[in-house]
Amino acid sequence: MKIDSSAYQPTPKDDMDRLFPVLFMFLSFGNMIVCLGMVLFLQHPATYAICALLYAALVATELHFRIKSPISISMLVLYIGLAILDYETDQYKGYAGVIVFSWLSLLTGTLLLWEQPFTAFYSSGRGIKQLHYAVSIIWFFIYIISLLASILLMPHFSFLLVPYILCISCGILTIFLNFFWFGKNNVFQHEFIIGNFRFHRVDPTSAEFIRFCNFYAKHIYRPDNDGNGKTEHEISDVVAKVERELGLDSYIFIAEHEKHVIGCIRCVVDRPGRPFPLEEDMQISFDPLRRIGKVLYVGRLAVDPDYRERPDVLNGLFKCFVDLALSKDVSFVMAEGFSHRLPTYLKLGFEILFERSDPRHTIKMSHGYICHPVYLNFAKLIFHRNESEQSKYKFSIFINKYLVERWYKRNALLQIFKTNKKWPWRLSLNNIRKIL
Amino acid sequence: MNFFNSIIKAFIILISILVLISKVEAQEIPYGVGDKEKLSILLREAKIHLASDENNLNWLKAAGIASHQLANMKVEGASEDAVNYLKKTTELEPDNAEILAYLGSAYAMAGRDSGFVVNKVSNVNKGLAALDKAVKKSPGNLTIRFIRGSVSYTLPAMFSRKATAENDYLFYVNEAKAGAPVDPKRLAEAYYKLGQIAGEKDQKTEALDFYTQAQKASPQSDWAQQAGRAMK
Repeated sequence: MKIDSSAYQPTPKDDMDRLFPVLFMFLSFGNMIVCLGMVLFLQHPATYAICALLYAALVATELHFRIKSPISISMLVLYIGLAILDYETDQYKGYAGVIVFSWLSLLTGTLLLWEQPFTAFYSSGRGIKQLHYAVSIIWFFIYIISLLASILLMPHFSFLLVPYILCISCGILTIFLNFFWFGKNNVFQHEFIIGNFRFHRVDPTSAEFIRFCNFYAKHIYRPDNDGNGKTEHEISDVVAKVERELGLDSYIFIAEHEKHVIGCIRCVVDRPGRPFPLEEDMQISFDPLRRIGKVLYVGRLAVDPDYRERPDVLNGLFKCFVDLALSKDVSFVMAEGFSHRLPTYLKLGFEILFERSDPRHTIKMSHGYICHPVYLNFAKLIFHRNESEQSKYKFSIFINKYLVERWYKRNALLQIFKTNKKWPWRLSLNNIRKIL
Repeated sequence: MNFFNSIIKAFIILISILVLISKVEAQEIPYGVGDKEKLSILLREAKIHLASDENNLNWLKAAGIASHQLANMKVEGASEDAVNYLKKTTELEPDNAEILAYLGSAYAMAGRDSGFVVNKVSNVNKGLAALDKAVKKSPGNLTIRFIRGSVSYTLPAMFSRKATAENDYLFYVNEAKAGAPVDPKRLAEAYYKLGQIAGEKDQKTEALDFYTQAQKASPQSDWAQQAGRAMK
């Protein structure tokens, strides 16, 4: 399940080519709203020509990024036609909305019939199919309603306002569906099943929390190691105390098989002004990293030895933290691992944060054991995700695809105006070491 | 020297007022007046009177109609003034159908002059409602029918008023044929526009007949000349 991101090293230009197109659909909607507003509300002789120019710029930009959107191209042609028509005759004055909505309804409807939702053209066919269909169908109906409103409400001024308000509302709904929520099945799941295993979040106030503490203590307890004099019970108490102090910022997940705990992982989300326990133990601050992207802290990873060869268990625990990181727009993941657990972290795609010669490589944790900080450039994992690599490691099967897409779009929007040096996915391990 | 200058200034002002008075008959309602300067002077005079007596019906009518005529000549801000004065006039004299028709026409011109399309459409709709109401109040009034016909004729197709324009102009020319006194220029205009409407409907014979009538009604008018060009 390890993600091999070292084989491919894209340049900033490659990144730009990936980053921009994600937002093209929204740029296109914005352009459509602006042009419609001009056509419907400002009947200036130059309106159609300006709209044609705006679409020409949009089409040129799209083609530059190898996007061929039938909507943008046809709208360019339509506005050129309307500009000529407006120059030639006044006959169609007031009918621009009817013409535009007729064309858009026809085009989006035809594309849907051909199983080609129009939004898919902006992402070269990538992205969640259901989302493409949902957005395209919604727009198709909005265009139809707008067309009917343009015809039936004419000549009352609402024949201009109603379609425009509908289009703006649909634009807002599209943003909401793409950037915030797309159904109950696509939110972060606190409970799920993979194979015979049930994975679920444990509340620090629930009875199951003690089971987690005991399971974790049992699996890290090594009486003849590290000179830690604590008993298994004492370790469990320390873990319980630390986790309770973290409260709801701590996401504890356990894996169960036949109602027995067989694995666990704990993630702590970034909290403004409150360092992670790891920072306190290491006596360093991750704040310089936080200025670049959100940080998630992962720990308490343990799997029952009888289940370590069962891929579903590690896949499930991996999904727990990946989905959480995606839902929280995380860019970097920090973790600490016992020396004998480091291979598991490395298998998950983590890297050892500090060189072995660096004193910060070895830290004594609150439970008394020696751990080693590890790091994962989560942004790089998602941003440079390679479909073939994902399928190879079954990555795409387990993670929430909508959350990946949402993370991608949100980050594209956040990072697009920053210099590429500040893009989290471009930070190498050496950069991180220098920053810290 | 200053005293002498003051006397000259006072004399000039007096002469100006006398010139104004001689040009503009007080409370004249400038129906059909096409002289821009005369209309402007009248409007200025009306405004002075309305500043001291804002509900003076005759001055309101004078200001409203003068503004309406100026708006017809596309003088900036005139259509808005016309709406304001005529709206107040109709409030004071709600049964005057002719003023209501002028208000409708003023609204339509305010729509024409609006930059924002919603205001454009909204004003035109208000104007059409006022015109329809005026015709309903006084169906046989030729001025009202002519105004509604003219407004309806100039509107874009989306308002679907071509049939109204045709009916109103037909009513106007038929009444004229029946002996009703009408302005020959207006009659020529009505015939020419009926010719245009018939032409749009591909009724070439009827169109030619209307153009011929337009030329007969007022041979020296612009409408007759336009009809002559349309016949070629």
